[in-house]
Amino acid sequence: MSEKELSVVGKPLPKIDAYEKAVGKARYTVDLNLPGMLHAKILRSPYAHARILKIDTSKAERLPGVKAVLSHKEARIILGDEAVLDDKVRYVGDKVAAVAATSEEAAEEALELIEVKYEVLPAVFDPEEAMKPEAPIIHPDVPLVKGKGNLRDPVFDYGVGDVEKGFKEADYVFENRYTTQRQAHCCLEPDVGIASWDPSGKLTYWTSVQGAFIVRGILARGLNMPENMIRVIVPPVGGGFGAKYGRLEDVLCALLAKKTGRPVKLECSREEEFVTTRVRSYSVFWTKTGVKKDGTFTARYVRAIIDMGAYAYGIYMAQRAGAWLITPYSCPNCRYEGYAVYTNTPSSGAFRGFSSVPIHFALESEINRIAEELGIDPLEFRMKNRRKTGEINPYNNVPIDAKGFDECMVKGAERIGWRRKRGRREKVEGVKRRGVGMAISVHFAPALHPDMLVPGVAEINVNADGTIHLLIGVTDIGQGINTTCAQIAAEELGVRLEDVTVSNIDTDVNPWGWLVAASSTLMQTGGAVRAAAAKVKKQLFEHAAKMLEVPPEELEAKDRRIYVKKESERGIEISDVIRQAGAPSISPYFVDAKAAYTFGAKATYTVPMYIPPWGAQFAEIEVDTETGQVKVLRLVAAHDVGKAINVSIVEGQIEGSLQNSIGYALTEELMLDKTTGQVLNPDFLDYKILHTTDMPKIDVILVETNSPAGVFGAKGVGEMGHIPTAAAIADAVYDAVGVRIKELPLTPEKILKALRER
Amino acid sequence: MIKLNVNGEIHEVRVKPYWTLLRVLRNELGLTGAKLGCGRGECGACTVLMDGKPILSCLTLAARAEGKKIVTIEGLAEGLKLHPLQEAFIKNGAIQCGFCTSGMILSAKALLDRNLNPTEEEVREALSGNLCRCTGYVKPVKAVLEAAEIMRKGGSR
Repeated sequence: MSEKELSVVGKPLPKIDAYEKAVGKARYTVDLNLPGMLHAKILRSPYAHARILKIDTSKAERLPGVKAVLSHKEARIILGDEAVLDDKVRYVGDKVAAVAATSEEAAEEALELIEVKYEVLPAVFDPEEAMKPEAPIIHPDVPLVKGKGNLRDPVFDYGVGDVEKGFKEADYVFENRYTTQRQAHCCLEPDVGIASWDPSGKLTYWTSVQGAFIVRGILARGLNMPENMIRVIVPPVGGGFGAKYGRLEDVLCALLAKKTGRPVKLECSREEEFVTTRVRSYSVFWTKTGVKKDGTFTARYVRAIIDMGAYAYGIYMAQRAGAWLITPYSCPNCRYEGYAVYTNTPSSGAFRGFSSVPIHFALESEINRIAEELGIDPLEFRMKNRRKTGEINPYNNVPIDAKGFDECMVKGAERIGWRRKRGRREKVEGVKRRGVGMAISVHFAPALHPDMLVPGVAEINVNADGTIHLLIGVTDIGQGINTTCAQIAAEELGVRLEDVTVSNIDTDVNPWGWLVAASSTLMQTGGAVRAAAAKVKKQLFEHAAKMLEVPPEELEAKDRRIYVKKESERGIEISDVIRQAGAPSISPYFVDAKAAYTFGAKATYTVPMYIPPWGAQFAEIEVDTETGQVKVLRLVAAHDVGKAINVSIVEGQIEGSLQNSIGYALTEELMLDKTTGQVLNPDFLDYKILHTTDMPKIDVILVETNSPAGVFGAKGVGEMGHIPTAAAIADAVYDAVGVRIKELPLTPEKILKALRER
Repeated sequence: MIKLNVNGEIHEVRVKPYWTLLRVLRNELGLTGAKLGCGRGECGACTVLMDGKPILSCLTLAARAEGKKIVTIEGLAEGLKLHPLQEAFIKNGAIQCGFCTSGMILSAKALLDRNLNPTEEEVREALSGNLCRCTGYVKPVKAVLEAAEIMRKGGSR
């Protein structure tokens, strides 16, 4: 491909789904209504931990308009450690019962008529408390580490070398404790599903989700049904960010529809969305680092405590977070211990920067601190210690390619004016101080763990006129994967973007696909698209070669035309190749038929090895020393994207990540009442995400390193922007006022307290 | 029964007194471009124009909209010809999941209808009630500034 100039890939083309969204015609799941459709509501627990002694739904059932009520008596279907409806509740907001009625009002009224008698149990809200032997046990039936309360078995313990030996060799040993808060995804479209059964026993389920086939699997297991009897359709999705990977509410909705024989829509309120969507975990990191005087690492150790909340969706965070300790810097001795702990709080789970965002705050903050204490510039410290090209990453045994790492740091530092600004503790307007800070990121794409190396699948069907239909198994949640994959197919086949149609997911039609997750979608599915397009191109070339009387390998395809490489004027339109392939037909019907069976392909693809995308972010901030307020003035985000298939989409991923990550640094925290475990701020007034007027000046720098492992050189870009920001801003606060805040978010209260205690 | 003027068409709708304008637009008139993001006037996804001003239709009773001119996102294009704001949002990559887009474009339209030469700060101020979790607002703001420029140069409306 290198000899051909790219004509579709690399261009900032408009997204193919932008038109219908711009005019308000895109129909999201929440916009759909079916004839006779009922509305469902869920009764949620007011207690953090309780047993349901008695539940009486008879009054609710008698309310006019109510068609069905479900409780654990009928729906105690257990998947993993969670039941669709259980006789025990484990956090404030846990599911107790569900109602389907002819209107939302009737459903809501019916919830109030359900009589529940609870036996309130002692509850625990802090993961370190929950690991004590005397803590109330939330899941007696799952594997727990003996004598450690709610600590889930296994503890993840891995690394390289011998850290004890490393600490002995160190000139200095630094220890610290960092914590990061719960963060809510805040998808603008709340979770929603519509279930409809037909008399053959087939279930159709429309939902707003990042993984249609995952939802199909959950429904199949929850309902004990064959997968071919479940059809999941995913209309346009109003944001995902890790929140939407299927939930037991899907099964509940299907059960209500089955019981009533009518379609049922289950739509989350904003409050439910905040409380139940499996937030980014509250996490605690104990760090211990050994260094030589010159800044060389001798040992790095982290104990990560991941608060899973009520159910174990967050266990993978504890498992994987060690990757980000081991990968970026050379250090002969590293050890990671990951603890996943149940508490009576909202479950945690995936969120943009899966397992990586919280631990990066701890690790990168600690590196900034150590560099400072050794009197080494944090940028130089990183340049010195980062892994070198060719070094083997002991985490996954893949050779490091560090060229993007340096470029991100150098370009970002230049743009922010690092050397001019760092360490000046600049005074402005009396009580205000300015500072700059930095942090780096690495995020594996596709996800680092072998069990997550699931292949991408793509299928291409060819029309007689040379236009194509592309089917993939992953969902466009707004990130633009449909457009990106269309560009890849168009480039490989030599057609234009508008020649490619990509349909949203229908599990009865599309090939299988995993979740849109782990920055893996483009890497896997994008690779499959190119492979499928290459197969179709080969078919086309074989036919064209006969027509042009040259061997197929001498052909090239571009702009709807196949031509001889060395004589570009000698060529044939792709549509003519298709029409003339095989025996000529006098009937237009057979022309189309011939296209359908002659051309087309399906391909699967797994990335052969993983090459990390690096990133470096630099923040310039201002601290008001009287109010403790931090204002971000500028954020420079330099990221190694491999190759931007669509510059506009890639920039958009990073810019959007920064809205999420600056909020994570400064304002976003899902807060719980310390005595009841109730979420205190389940709305946009009290849970503050950044508005247009809160955003600083943003500079996105795309570093293109052409990864040998990625399709057209690309790397996964969906999450990288979220990862280093909080540590960079915290470092800038230190640069401005000389205090290091070790607990996110960096609220005015914490900064003022630290300034007073200085 | 109330009469609503939506996108220049008069609709007679039977409503309950507590129904919001958003509910009537979406459920009774099938205009689902305005979205329910929070139902509390905090996210701006339900923004429509009432007599040219952006309002939160999730907090506005349908009955209060009688006698006013309502414009929704569906009323912005002329047939298949898009409004310059819509064009600019598409061209600049300002639409990701698209759930906030309708509200954002309508807030921007209200701004440009009274000020065709806004500064970036004025654009940010005008969009400050429209939450977006996807774009970081960078490209939407750019799109509004570009649309203003096109409209100043005589692009349609």
